[in-house]
Amino acid sequence: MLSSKLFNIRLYLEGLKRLKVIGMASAILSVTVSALIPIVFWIDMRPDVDKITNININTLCIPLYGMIFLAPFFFSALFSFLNKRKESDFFHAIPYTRTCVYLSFTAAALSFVFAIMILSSLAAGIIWAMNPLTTFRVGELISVTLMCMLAAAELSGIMILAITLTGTDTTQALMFLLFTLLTRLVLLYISIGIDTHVDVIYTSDLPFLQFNWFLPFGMLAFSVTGGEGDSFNPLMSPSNIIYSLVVTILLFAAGWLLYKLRKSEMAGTTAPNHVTQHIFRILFTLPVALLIPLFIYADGMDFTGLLVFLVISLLMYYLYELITTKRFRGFLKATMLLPVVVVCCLVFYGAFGCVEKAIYNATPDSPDEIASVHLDIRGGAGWDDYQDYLMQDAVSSDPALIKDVIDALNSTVECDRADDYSSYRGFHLRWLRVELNKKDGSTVIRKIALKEENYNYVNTQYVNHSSVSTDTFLSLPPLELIDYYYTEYYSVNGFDVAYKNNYNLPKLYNILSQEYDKLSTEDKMWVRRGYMTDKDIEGSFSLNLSGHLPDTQNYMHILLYVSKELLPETFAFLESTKIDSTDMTDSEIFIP
Amino acid sequence: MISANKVTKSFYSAGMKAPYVALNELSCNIPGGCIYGLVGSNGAGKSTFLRLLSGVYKADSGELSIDGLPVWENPPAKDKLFYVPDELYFLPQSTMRKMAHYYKAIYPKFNWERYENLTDTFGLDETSNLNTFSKGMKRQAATILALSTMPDYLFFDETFDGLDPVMRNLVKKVIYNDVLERGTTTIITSHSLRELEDTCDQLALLHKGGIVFESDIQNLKTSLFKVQTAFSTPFDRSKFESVGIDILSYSQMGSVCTFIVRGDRTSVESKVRCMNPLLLDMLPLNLEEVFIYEMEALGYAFKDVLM
Repeated sequence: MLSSKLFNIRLYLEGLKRLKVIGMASAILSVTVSALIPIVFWIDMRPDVDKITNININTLCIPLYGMIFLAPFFFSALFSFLNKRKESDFFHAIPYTRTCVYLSFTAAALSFVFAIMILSSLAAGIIWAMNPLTTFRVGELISVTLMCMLAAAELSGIMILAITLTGTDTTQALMFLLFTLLTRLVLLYISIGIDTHVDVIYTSDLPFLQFNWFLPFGMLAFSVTGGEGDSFNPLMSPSNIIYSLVVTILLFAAGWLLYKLRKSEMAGTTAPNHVTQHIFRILFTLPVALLIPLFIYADGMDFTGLLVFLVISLLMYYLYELITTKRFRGFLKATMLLPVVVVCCLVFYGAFGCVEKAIYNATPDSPDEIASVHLDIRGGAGWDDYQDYLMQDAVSSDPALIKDVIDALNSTVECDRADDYSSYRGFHLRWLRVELNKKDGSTVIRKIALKEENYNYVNTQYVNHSSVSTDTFLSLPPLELIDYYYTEYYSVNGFDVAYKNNYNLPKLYNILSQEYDKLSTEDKMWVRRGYMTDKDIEGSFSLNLSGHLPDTQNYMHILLYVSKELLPETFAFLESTKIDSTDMTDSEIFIP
Repeated sequence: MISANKVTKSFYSAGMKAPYVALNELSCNIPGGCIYGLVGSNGAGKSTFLRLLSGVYKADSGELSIDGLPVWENPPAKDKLFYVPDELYFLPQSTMRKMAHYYKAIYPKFNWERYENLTDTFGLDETSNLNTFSKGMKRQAATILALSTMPDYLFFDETFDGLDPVMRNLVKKVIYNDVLERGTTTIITSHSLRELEDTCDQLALLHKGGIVFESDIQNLKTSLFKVQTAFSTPFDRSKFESVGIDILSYSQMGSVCTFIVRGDRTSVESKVRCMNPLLLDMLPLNLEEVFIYEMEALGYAFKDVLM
């Protein structure tokens, strides 16, 4: 009895069989590409290099990212019977409950997708592990695979919703796109609107505008933009994993409920009833219609633009009706619901004002409210990746610094509200992201406008008065975190590229560490951020250390200035191993 | 026994002003072990009724049960039945044998011996792809598979469509045998009354989502008959009605009249003979004529209902 009520192995196998064509094609493609990528990496590597861990996991996992977006098609193919009358009758007439059909087929589609992803990952992993020139990061590969599987399941859950709510392939595809994109588009529109009007906050710091929360897009963004420096860290945070898992479970649960309620006769019809048809049509129009309030709010639309978007919105509205019903009969009824779109636009316009007001109201204006501050110095004052890493959890409770920050914040809010930055005229304006830990335990994130000199001052004050000591801040990472190095020599004529050589990395690092530790704080500062100081860097080597940060394995780059005066032994070592760049090919100069 | 009590089913379609009502408070009781014919024009609700009985559709209101069990989302009830739809569907790229294996896994009573016997009887190649079968061969295959699941209830929707006369008779024969041997309750729908005339025990006429007429076929055929008679003296309809003959339809040309009578044939014949007719013929009616006169008696124009 249980087998016919909840799950049936025969149906499950039938599901796998129905996915044979799309599944086998995807599997062959995905596994082959997964195996080829590490082979190409291997071929490209120089055999004379001792150890290079610089395999880009994003590139390695391209087939997995592909499978995320292919997964919904597995569900669409498997549940396609719902859109065809006789197939729908067949599957609803057999003596199984709808729950049993839903669960058995869902399990079949998911297991096919997951199997392909695991096989692809295995193929990539085995070849990667066989490569003696790399360090096989099995944990990272497993994490990425699991995240891709979760993302695939999440996107498939959206497809399940579209499948259960529609009865034709066209409406199913439209609703899938709409369900996937609409919330992202609305968030993007709010982000653009707030970004245009409010300077005191990065929109990415608004909790509801976190795009990474939607795993499939987050993974895609990281895979597309994923150079060596990017990481999956924000995506792989426990909160994001739990969120994605909960959303996925909710989507499949909603799909199950709707599947149970779905009438067999829906096959071939656009929507379950008149109300949903109206809702779908309105939702379909919103991506364009909401641009109107957005552009009005952002002061970016003249009358012609308004007219154009209005016409496009109307076209979208009636086009949906025409595409789905293929007749004009429903136009009159559809017109009666047009005011709902207008109301949605008005509400959306009002939402901008509310968000803006909420941001200003929540911005602290007195130092007394603040317990400590954290400044986002990344890419700001010439600190490197390792220093950023060391400072990621640092805070400062220095009253003077807090006052400076709040004063700057108040000034920024004033200018922002008046949209007048004339007080900064003639100065180089720098923006700094600050985390304000309030005494009531809450944290507010804002950005402050600073003149260049104040910017550097605040940064230095922060480093000097933060919970991380200056010595720690200026310390070098352990050798294990460094993968390779390369150098450039700054001559009178500019700089000559020297070379990279990992045979000598431990020796070099030993000499460097010993000399560096003996330097004064000021000299260490120069070594770490020579170009930011007044001292001349001519006649020194730039030593570029590349490696990975602890825990996250994120790419790390450190630039040190090795001068004859401060680091004589290191300088001598580099000098003795220097090779003129003209003797090297491009591929030898730069790490692939 | 199949029981339907005030079953209503309507359909929504985008662009339609109001939902289309396919079945409107339909009620009927179909006894076990009979062949029940459902006849009606296109859109009368025949297929909808079968889909409701098979658990494909859910009734908007009313109750439907098989042996006292509701069918909707109830595998124990659905185990007892098999539905052969008007538009047949087989799994992609399947053969009869594969479908048989599939049904064997689904229906616990599937009888492999019966399947093989029936396949031999019909002479179908069970290893050929079903897509290569003709429409009629697909129907035969569906019938074989349906009977092999050994259901207690069999529902055939327009099942004789596409079958040649020989195969039609063969299909009818295997259905009879199934009813006789196993007491299977069978419902067959058709828009052709003649198709069901020699097949069914009971007939129901479906019109605009409701059963307008339902009767035992044997009773139908024997309860109505045609009388043709002539007298030397003038007469009219009242001459017969005055002696208690129940006339459904009457026509007269000169001294010869023809009328349709409901009642006992012997009694009517003796009453007319007592009037000393010049001519007396007692003629049987075919099912279509019976339906025409019964429907007219109910106030329906038969051609509107079935034609």
